[in-house]
Amino acid sequence: MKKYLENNDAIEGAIFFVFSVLGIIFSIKSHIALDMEWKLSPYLFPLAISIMLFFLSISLILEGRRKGSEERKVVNHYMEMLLYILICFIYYLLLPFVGFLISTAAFLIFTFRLLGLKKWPLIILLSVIATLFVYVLFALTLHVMLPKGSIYYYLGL
Amino acid sequence: MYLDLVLSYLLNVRFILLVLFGSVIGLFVGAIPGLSVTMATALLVSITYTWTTNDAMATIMGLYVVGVFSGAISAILINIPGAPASVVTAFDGYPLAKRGEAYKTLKYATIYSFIGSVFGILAMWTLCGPISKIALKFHPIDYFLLSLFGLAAVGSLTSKSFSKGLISVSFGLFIAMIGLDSVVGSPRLTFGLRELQAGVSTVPALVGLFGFTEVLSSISSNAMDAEVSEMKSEKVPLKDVLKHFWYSMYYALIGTIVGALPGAGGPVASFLAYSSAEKIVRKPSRPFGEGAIEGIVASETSNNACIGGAMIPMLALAVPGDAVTAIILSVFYVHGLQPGPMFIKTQSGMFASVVAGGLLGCLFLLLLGLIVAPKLSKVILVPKRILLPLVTVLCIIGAFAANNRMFDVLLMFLFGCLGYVMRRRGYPVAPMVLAIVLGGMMDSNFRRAVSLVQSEEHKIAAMFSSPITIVLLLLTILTLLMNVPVVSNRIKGIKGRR
Repeated sequence: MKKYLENNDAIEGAIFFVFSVLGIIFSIKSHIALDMEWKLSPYLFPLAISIMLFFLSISLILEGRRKGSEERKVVNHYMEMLLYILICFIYYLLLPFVGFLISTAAFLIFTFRLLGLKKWPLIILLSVIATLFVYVLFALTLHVMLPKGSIYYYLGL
Repeated sequence: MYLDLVLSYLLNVRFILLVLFGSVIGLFVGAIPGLSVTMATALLVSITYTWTTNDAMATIMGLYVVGVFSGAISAILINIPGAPASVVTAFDGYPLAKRGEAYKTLKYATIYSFIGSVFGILAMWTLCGPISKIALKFHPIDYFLLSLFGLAAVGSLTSKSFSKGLISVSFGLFIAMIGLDSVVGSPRLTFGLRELQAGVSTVPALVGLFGFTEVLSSISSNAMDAEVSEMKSEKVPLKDVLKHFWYSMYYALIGTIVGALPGAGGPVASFLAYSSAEKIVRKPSRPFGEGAIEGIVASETSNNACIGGAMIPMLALAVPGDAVTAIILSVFYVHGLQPGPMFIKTQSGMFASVVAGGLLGCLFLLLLGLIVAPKLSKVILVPKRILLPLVTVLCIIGAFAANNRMFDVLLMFLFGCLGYVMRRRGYPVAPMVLAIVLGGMMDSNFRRAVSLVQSEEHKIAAMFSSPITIVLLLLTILTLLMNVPVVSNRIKGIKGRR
């Protein structure tokens, strides 16, 4: 048992095994609820994939067992990456409210700083130029729709 | 066939300039991660609505031919394929660029994309009729098996672990199942979320799994300056480049045939050609996946040959081979034309303009690829601490522009995080992307095949009665068996004893 627990592949294999069993149960239950023949059922293919995953998860557990224990990989800049994802998420929330121009400029200012650019004037200049360039290229030249921002609507602009 | 008409277009200055215009757009759109040829073609349709059909076709053909090639530029230079068809190019292209051979790799990609495109367009010109007849003989089970074979090959190709490659395929298929079911129209795996009823769009998945994953990987490894590939101009003798010419004819044939089969398209063609190259090239310049130039030749020749192949059923049967040809089909309809079996006879001028547009697109591919593409590498010479936030913004635009909804942006972020975890744990993302693209088609063909044999007495025999089906089934079983650890270890053991 220890041999299995020391290997991440074996642990992942066990998770996929549970997932595949749940997938099989879910597909059969959903199919029964629809009350139709299997040949037309939307859950026929998900059932087939769940069965395939069932065998693959066993194969992965066995592969993990063969390999034995493995070294843990250390992520050095874990916090930096998490902060980056957090800024992205805030950008995602702000985008429909304040629009593309302001939110993108703000996003670029914070991420340039986070990734190591030191000089504020350079950061601000780069962010503004990059935002305008992207806007002109996509919104004005290629006519790609970009979020306009609902705040302007509420402000009557 | 209609040589005089084709020549008249090839010598028409206005026609040439419009193809060049489309080619330049295609070069940039294909090279920028997150922007797809499909999206650009769709945008062009709205712009060219009021143009004549010939003008519209000239621009679109230029964009299509060069756009498919330029997906390789970002695949080679920054390991983010510009299109699913360029995923395989990144396998060897990026390792080569990291070794400082980006210029040479781009030259190979350009020349073999040109060869593949010319082959495909000539095949479209000459073999339009016969190839469509073969494609017509495919049953639903054949389409399913062809996709399954492609996925099995990809799953085993892209990962050291056979199980991990196929687990990636399985999850890709699950994702493709999300949304309204195409046969009975009921919501499936949507978990009550209204936004999921339309399904998971390919663009946010592709942009997230390749674009945002790359951003997160670079940040977590703090590779802010080291990963930037340098473009050193070097002499690459044409004689050396053309050494792979005869192999490329084989890959181009694969690309054209796969392109003619609706739904399969560039990604399957390049994976099949790559898998064939692994078998037929005895002594590659480097091991495949570590910078083999033979891998670039296979991938680029086949995915560009798909262009001509995909046009064949679209023109002759009004059945598009891929998303771009589906949009081109809509251009014909908008202009009151009806592609189909009678199209070549009744609209010979239009057919000639498609051929001429394709051939001129190939010429501009060669010129732009050799002259302009190496200069595009200036983009990656920008330090990553500046490039990564910009790539993130492009990823967001790409995800949003597909359907103009913020939910796709959220999906892109989720796929990016998933791709990062998968990459760290050794699960390849390419099989997942291919499974997402092919999943819907596989599902509907699988169920259609099951439904068709219900009335037969011997169901299994009825399902596998055609020679095409048997060949595809055997190929799929062989691919799976050869990669099962027990079997592959035994084969290695036998080879070792020899």
